[in-house]
Amino acid sequence: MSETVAMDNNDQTPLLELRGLHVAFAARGGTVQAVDGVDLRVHEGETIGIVGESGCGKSATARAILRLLPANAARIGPGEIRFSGRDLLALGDEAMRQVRGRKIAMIFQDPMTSLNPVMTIGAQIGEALAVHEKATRAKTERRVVELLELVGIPSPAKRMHDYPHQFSGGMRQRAVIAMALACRPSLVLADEITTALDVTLQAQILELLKHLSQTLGMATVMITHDLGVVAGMTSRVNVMYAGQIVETAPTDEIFDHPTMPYTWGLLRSAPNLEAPEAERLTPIEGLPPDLSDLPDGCRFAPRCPHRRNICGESTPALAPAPGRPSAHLTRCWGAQDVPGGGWLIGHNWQNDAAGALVESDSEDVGR
Amino acid sequence: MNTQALKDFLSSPLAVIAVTLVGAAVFSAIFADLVAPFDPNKQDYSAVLQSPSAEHWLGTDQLGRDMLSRLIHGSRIAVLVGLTSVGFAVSVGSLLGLIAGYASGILDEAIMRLVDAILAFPSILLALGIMAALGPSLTTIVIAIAIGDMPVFARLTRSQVLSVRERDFVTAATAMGARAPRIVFRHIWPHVTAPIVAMATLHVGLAILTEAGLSFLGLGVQPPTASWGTILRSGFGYIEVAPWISISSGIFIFLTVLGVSLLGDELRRKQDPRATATVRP
Amino acid sequence: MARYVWRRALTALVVLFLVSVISFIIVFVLPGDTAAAILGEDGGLDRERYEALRETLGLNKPLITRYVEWVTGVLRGDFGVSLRTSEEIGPALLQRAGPTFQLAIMAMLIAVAVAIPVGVASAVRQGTWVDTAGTLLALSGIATPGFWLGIMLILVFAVWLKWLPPSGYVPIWESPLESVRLMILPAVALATALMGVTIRQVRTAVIEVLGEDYITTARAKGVRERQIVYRHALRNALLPVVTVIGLQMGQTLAGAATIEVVFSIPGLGRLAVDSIFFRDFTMIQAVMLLFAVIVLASSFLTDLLYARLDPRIRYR
Repeated sequence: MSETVAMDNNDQTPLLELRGLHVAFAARGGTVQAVDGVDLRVHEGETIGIVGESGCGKSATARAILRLLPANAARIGPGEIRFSGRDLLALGDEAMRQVRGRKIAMIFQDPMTSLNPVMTIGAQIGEALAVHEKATRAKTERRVVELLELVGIPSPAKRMHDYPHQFSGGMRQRAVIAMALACRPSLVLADEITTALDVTLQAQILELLKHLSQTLGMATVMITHDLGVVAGMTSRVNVMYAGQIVETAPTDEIFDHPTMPYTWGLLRSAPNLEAPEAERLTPIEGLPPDLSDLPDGCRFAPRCPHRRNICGESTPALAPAPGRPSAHLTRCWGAQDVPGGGWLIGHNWQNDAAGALVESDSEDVGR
Repeated sequence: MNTQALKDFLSSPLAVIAVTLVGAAVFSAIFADLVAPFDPNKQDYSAVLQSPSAEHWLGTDQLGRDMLSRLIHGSRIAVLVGLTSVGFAVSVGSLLGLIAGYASGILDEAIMRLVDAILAFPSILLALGIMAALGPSLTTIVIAIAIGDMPVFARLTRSQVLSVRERDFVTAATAMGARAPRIVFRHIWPHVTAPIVAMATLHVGLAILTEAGLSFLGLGVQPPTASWGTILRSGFGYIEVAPWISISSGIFIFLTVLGVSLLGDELRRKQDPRATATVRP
Repeated sequence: MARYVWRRALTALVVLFLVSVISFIIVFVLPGDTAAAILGEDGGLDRERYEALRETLGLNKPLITRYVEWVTGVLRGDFGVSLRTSEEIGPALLQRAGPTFQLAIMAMLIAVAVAIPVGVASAVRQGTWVDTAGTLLALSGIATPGFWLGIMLILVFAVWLKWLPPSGYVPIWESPLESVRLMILPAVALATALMGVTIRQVRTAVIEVLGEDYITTARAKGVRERQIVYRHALRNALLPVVTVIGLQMGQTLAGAATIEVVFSIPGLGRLAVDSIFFRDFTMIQAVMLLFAVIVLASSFLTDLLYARLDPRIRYR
């Protein structure tokens, strides 16, 4: 179903479109290419996911969209960020500020630190309104109460006068969501919004965001390291690794037919609440590469259990996965039908899982 | 400090200014006799209160003494007082801080309340009181400034010790049965020196200012010894007829203290990663 | 909050006790004793008069008894009598406190008025020439001897330009305008050090706060950069700044001593200097105690103010 939605929308201009986006950071002894040629499309009202380990460039991508990266340390471009047909990178600072909060809003990871400790919750939500809409105080206050009610905070008229430290973690994240929704943006960037919360709250917050984006018709970009978060929420998933998209497909498709080893690794490491305790988490071995010193060829090759010589020699492109719907792209020699590649086509990754589990089990015993 | 570290340090223009100013002050303090064109105490009644000229670059004072020579010799007092008073303050203060931080409990409480009490007296007033008690002389200035500064280093050292004390290598040393003095001096002290050096540098500048203030009030170095503060004191009486005396001596104090403060600031900047732009991808 | 205040007050009392002991004892390290000081150099030769005076002054009693007597007197507001002028010390201190406080408060206002914009500009433009200039101004403020700056101001504004009188003092209740006018130069001279310290504090605090997540949140809301600095960053950054200014209060008051000498202002600082010259022991004791109490009180009040300003402490 989600597949047809994506296909239908392909004719229209997407709400947000990234074309070959690059983001580089100045660092000690050179630059770090945090985002390296990312293409992405989000249609009106659509929810998509960007998934990857920390440091893969997913947050940098989100912050680049709102141009929230420090100007003295980060360079955005080459590439384009088109929002409603306008290139955001070409906007002046004032025009960009008009976009922030009003057209595109962002929700951050840690509700403990993303609220100003010396301003009341109400004042911080009201500020978002005051910045973009000239409303009277009484009207702003009414809207704040409405918003708090919308995100499920009890007795909002009273709680709006509280300071952030008087709210619990889950309530703070609800307040942050209310703040993001204040101006009815058409796009919300949700950056690891459940990572800092405990498991029961995670589900509540996700459910709330899903409900709100449906009722308000907002497009949403869910950014997470956890494939479990995007399941049942997004129409499409983009898997990122070392600054690049390595696999992208409609959500059901990626869960049912993942094609490349990094995605398999993420699926294995996603907390699966139905699985028995011992099978829940299998982290991917090794660490993401140093972005200032990337390996030749495929960037995942050094950690990949299925690598062959070709992987270390030349870089695979993001190309359609053979035998899969055209909306399914993958960046892996083993998954592509090219000379010297294709050894992973039709490979049953879940059989690897058992093997990997045995290995990690024995390690656990060793510890 | 190796050559590379020195190069890194001097990459900032402020650090270059700092090193130049401090270098000049130390150089003129050591080689005052060679650098100064005249005997700083030689009086010349035929050349009293002369404005700056080719012969007397910074003019002469009310006794016909060459101002430039007196100011160059004055750097001796400044450097001497700055270094020795802070040296004493650091030794005593850090020792107290180490004890308080490591011992904790009642000993910590006692030391820190005493430190609080001394800190309650503004430094110049405490110095005034001590100068009054011990009588004005170079030694008493050093003692007075050292006592006033000591609490600063006690507090700083203690806070550093508290943050280092719980670290693994200290726990390991304790577990291996090392004695307290050994733990404190071999394992803890090396980790607390860097911030103390930076703070001490800043306080050398402040000590020079305090000495100048005390001497200006007539409670510090006594004439005829050339000290910047005493020169300012006598120059103040001739402010209308011979303003160059006051102007030049103040500039000497200002540049020296500025150099020392810049140096301390740069040292601290080097240690504190927050002071420079941090970049996270 | 109440518990915090109580604990804080208790420590302050302990320190206060130690301070009174130090103030009391410093006089006994002084060469010569009070009786000899009163009689002067010649009177000291007269053994009988000297002994009699020691007896009436209570100098023959044990040190602890004398300390207790002194402290109980002070607690009742009786600081004794000045050895130099024979006036009551309490009223004398009160009279001298006016000019010093006026000077210190004016200096503090000047310092803060300059330091906040400069510190904020340095922080916002971190690493640029603005920041370097701000740092240089801050360190110059710290490195300038206040009394010398005072002399220079007299030279320029009184001797050369003749805009202001070189010295003088009028109580503010007699002629507020004239009083402030006379106090401007000394206040500027006294302000530099505090300005320097405050610039650095504001800069550090603002840089720290600008790196916080809630600043990014505010940017993502579309808040103007100016509002981010003044509404979000400065409000948080001023908390530590308040502490520094409070702790500098004592240094500023005492730093007034040299300034008061330069500008002939009849304040506490000059009283301290004069008392030392005239070996007015009882006055020295009182002045030292007074200054220390002011320092302790201002740091105590600063802590309370801090707690009041920070909602995280206020609602605990």
